[in-house]
Order: sequence, then C-alpha cells, then structure tokens
Amino acid sequence: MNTQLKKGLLDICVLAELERKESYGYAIIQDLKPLIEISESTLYPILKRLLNKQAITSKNQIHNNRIRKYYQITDIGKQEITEFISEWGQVEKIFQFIKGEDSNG
Amino acid sequence: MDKTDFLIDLQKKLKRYGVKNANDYLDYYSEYLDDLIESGLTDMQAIDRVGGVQKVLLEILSDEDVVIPETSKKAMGNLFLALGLPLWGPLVAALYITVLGLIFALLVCALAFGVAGVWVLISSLVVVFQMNVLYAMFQLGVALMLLGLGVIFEQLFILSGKGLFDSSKYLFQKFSPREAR
Amino acid sequence: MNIFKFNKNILVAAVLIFLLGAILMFISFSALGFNVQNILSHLGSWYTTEF
Repeated sequence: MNTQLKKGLLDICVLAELERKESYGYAIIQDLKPLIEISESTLYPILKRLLNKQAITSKNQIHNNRIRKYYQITDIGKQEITEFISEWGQVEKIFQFIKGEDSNG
Repeated sequence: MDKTDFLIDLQKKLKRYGVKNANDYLDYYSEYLDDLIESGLTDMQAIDRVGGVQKVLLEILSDEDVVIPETSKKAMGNLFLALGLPLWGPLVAALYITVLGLIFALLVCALAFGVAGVWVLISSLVVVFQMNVLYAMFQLGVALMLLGLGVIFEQLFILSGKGLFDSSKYLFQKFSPREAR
Repeated sequence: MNIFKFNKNILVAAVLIFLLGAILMFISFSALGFNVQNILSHLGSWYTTEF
C-alpha cells in the first residue's frame, strides 16, 4: 500500500484495535498483520503520539516475571475514530474523483 | 548478540545522540523482544525481526527531535579561549612538549633495549662455544630480559603515541569551529 | 599479530619473556658462583683479571 496513505490509516487502526480490547505491542502487530503491516519500530512512535494526545493510556502489568505495558483507549481516542468514520463521505468523494466518475458533473 | 547486548548497544547509541527519553524506547524494545522470544524465536531471530541496532536507532532518530549542541555558546567559548591564548598557550605547549619528550624517551628505551637484547642474544650463541653452557645460559637470560624490556617499551611507546594522537584529534574536533555532525 | 600495533597479548608475552630471562639469569648466576665482591672491586674489568 502507498506509504503516505498507510501512515494516516495506521493510527486509526491501532485505535480501533484498542477499542475492541486492551492490548500490548506484540499483540497489536500480530492482530493487525492480516489487515495492514506495521513494523515494530513504527508502532512505538504511533503509540507515543497517541499517548501524547491522550487518545490512549498505558498500564504496566506483570507477565511471566516481567513488565508488559498494556494500552487502553480513552474517550478522546474513541472520539477520533468516530471523527474518522464521519469523514469517510469526504474520502469517498475524493475516491470517486480519482477514479474519474465526477459525481458533481 | 543476545537481547542484553542489543539493549546495551542501543542505550549507548541513544545516549550519544542525546535522545532524552531513551529509557522509554529501551523498555519498549525490551518488552517487544521478550514477546518475540516467548513466541518461540531465538534471541538472534528476534533481533533480526526488529531489524538490528542500526535500523532501530535510525527509526528513533528520524522520529525524535534530536538536539544538536548549540554552536553560539561554543563560538563564545572559542572567543575566550582565543583571548586567553597568551596565558594558557605556553602552558599547553610546555605540557605537550613534555609529553612528546616522554614518548620519545620510550622510543629510545625500546630501541636501546631491543638492539642490546638482539646483540646479547647473538653473542650468547658465541659464548656457548667459547666458554661453557652455564655462561651461555646466564647471557641468554640477560638477553631475554633485555628483549622483554625492549618489547614492553615498544608497546608502551605505541600505546602512548596512539593516545596522544587520539586526544589531539579529539581536541581538534572539539574546538574546531565547524559544527559537529 | 602485529608487533607494531598495541596488543595486550604482546605486552603479556614480553613480561613473560622478561621473567623467563630473569629466572634463567638468576639460576645460572648462582650456579656460576661469581665472586661479586671481587667483580665490584675491579669495576667491571673482572674478565681481564684472575680471581
């Protein structure tokens, strides 16, 4: 997939994954693998960005004698998903335009 | 390279580039590697999957705003250094020449002991025939001591010479007006 | 192993050679049984004189 397009979708994909259940780094990548490829080094900046705008929170949990960071979606994150979905109409128009079926005409 | 090596190496490089929240990255990659290893990969495979230290470092640096040291402060410092040159210049020069002299002394010692050692060693062979084995053994012992000292001084000379070269290079880079890469 | 580069192993080997030489020297020195007093009183020209 086009990297520019992918970049915009990744954040939302991670949010959507976390909306279904709280999760951790490795599991997020494994779950999203069939849908969209995320490398381990690109996931961290995404998580950090989402943490910064408080779209997600994190919580340390002990797993097999080590700490694992679990991420949960917040209301701000859920808001972001709904905004993305509501913007879809606009995206669809653009898509039509690109395909050459000008709906206005 | 196992997981710990990877993390130590990454930590060192992050520190060198002044990445502030290095620990967050280390925690993240530590957890991730643990998860990969838990899923059945070996340490090596897990690190390969992540892409190796260099790749991870590049990813982090491209994402972080790495602070490159200010040059204006450095320029100010250089000005003071230049103004104080008559004061500290001779002192530094004297120190430098002293160090050079010491290193040169090491070289002379190395050459003297080395040449003497070889000479005594060769002559100890002569002594075997001229006198007896005991005398030759004595001389051989002395020759080995001299050769040993020669090599020790030679190694010290190389070490100190390299040290001086490296520190000169470091100083030159540190005080050169060009911005560090 | 390049002797013109600093190498810890070479340094250790040199110390060992030195010690070996010292041991060899002391053993043969005591076996030779020089009259040290005599050597010193002749200021190094011991080999030219009878002692």
